[in-house]
Amino acid sequence: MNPLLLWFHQTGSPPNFDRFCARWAPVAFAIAMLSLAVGVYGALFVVPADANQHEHFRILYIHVPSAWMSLFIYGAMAIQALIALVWRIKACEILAMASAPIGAAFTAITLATGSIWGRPTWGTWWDWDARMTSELVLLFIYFGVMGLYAAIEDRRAAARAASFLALVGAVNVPIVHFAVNWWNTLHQGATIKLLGPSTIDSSMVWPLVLTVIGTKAWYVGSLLQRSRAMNLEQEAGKDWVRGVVDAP
Amino acid sequence: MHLDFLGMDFLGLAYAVSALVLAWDYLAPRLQLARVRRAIAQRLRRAAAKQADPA
Repeated sequence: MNPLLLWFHQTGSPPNFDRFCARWAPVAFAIAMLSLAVGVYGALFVVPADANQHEHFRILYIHVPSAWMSLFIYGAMAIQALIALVWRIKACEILAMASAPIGAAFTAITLATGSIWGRPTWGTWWDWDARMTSELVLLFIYFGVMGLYAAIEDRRAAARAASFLALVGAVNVPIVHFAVNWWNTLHQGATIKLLGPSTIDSSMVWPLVLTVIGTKAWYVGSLLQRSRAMNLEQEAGKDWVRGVVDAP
Repeated sequence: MHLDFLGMDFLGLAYAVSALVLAWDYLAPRLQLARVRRAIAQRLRRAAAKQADPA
């Protein structure tokens, strides 16, 4: 068997999955907290204020990575949901369902920080433009996945139903991303581009790189931590769990 | 610029809200894990007590 596939199958067994989560969640959180601490310090105290937006532009160092994560996590959740539905892999069901609250948290941060930034910059807390409305819809889809998963007693049936909803909701991800191109929105277009020149000064980029790394690592840490709790809850009656509970 | 009703600037409010949400995201699964471990330990203790005293 392909070594990667073999590793995937071995890690997917509940006892190995628990050990994997217990081992790597603290490492991911340590990377996240270090990156976020240095990145936020740079954002608040090192980079110069923006010529037009003054101090308020510093909100983007938490708003932009959160917005990227809200879409990235949805994409990851949809892929995990697809694998869970097609191959019925229990670990993928757990990973998909554990992703939903983390994605909802980052989407809530995106909406809150965007709204707080909008008040002094645009003169309004909220506008029903395409980007903001589709991001709000994304939050409701996350809530829908979480609600559906919580509403069905059989955990595996619940995960399958919620995975299906997550797949259907994936249609909103490109709408959020391309909303600023497809419609005339109050929200500005992309400032940082992977392909093509970015319109942010290079002296302002490094804290953003750190907060982007920090939020990615945070997702990994939080995902593993949530998955571990869900895995243990589902496996509560099995013999291997005794060793985990006895351990300090 | 300051928020009149909070006496807090927009920048501070944005970072405070973000920190609060991330703190919830960090603590919620830890509490869930502790609750699950307690429930399993309790069930194991009950099973052991039942085995020791079959009457």
